[in-house]
Amino acid sequence: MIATLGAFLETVAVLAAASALASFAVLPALAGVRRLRLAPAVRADLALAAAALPAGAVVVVAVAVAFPSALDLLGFVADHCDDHGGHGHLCLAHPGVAAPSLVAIGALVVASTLLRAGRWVATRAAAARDLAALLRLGVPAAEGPDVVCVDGRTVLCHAAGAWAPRVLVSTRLIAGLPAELLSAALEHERAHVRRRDVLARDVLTVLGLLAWPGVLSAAVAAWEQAAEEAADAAAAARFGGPLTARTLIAVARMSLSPAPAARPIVGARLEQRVRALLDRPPRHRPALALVAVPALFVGLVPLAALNAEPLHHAAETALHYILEA
Amino acid sequence: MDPLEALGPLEARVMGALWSTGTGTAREVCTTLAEEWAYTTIMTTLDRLHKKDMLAREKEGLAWRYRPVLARDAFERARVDALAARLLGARRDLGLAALVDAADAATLDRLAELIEARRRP
Repeated sequence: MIATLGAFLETVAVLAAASALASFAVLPALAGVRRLRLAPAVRADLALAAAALPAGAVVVVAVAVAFPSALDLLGFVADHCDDHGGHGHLCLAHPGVAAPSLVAIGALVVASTLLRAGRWVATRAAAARDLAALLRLGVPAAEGPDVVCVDGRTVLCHAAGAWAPRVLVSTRLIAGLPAELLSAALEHERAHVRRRDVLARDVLTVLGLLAWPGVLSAAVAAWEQAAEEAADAAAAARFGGPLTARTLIAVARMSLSPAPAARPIVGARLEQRVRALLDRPPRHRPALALVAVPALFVGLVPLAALNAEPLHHAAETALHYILEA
Repeated sequence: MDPLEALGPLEARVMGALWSTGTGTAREVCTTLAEEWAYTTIMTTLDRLHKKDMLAREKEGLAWRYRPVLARDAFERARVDALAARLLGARRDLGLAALVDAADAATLDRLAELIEARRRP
């Protein structure tokens, strides 16, 4: 049992190394995504895909490490440990003596990941309860069955909910905006709903749990800016860039007025969005990453399994050189 | 009164009854609800709501007469604002996609001028 635990933690250390390598490659890519002159929906998809790479590396190496052991345990192949050539050994079926340094690293990685995951789950669950309570206090708005209106002094204009997203607005917002600006604001939020941006934000956070620190914040910054500009583009396609820009200013100005214990609505950088609406014709594209990224992961598992032997050997060789260093 | 504290199902029914009638004793609330809750259960719930500062009361003979501290719409408005503040504060804006960035008045004025300049022929 102890030996198996040691082998598991050693494997976690190797997975963390794979994640680190992928993370260091991804960070400059994420900085580059923000500068690309592509449709904002494409930039959002690229940011999400880039954030998925460290998690993808973890999945590939995990399958590569586990697959030969699994086949051995199930009796499909002969024991691959017989002829090991004396280099580093990664085998959950026949755990050897694990290197203490790697066990310590693995334990640290498991503890840190569980702590971050637990904190996020708790915060997310509390937010979901508050959101559910808020939606229960709302009524369908005259602006459409997909819009929930709550009676309050807070300026609310949000796409809300990951699984059954709707647009949440407050009576203060409805009363404070002229009709055409309100329509543009609602179209922006409806674009977030169509793009499933709240779910995408959760997916980003989960992917970030398997990446090194810095990747998640960089990915969120790149993705949020692009997602907001994509929703702006959807509103601008219907109402024009200048009117959509005026809508952003009007809502931001409303948020400056005193409201009971609420901070201003936070989103992506305002000036960049206004200039994008005024300078470039909006290009509206659907979001693809929420379909493409899971498909990629589903495809990675059999691909890694089919190439498990060489990947497993490569991981053990890397481990050997790390231990020798 | 803490508008963030959610009302339990029976508490919500009792408050609903008192919001519709304006005031009531435990006996009157029982009658209004027409449900199969014991008188003592209603009495305990009213007492609990009073301790939460949701209800004010004054003695009427041997019984207490209760009335809501806030009207229903004022209470719900306070609850909406309190929930929104908690949801939007301290990185709890999870499950929401916001419309617009925080910005100071000077920046907004400058951006408004920029938009106006682009509109002028």
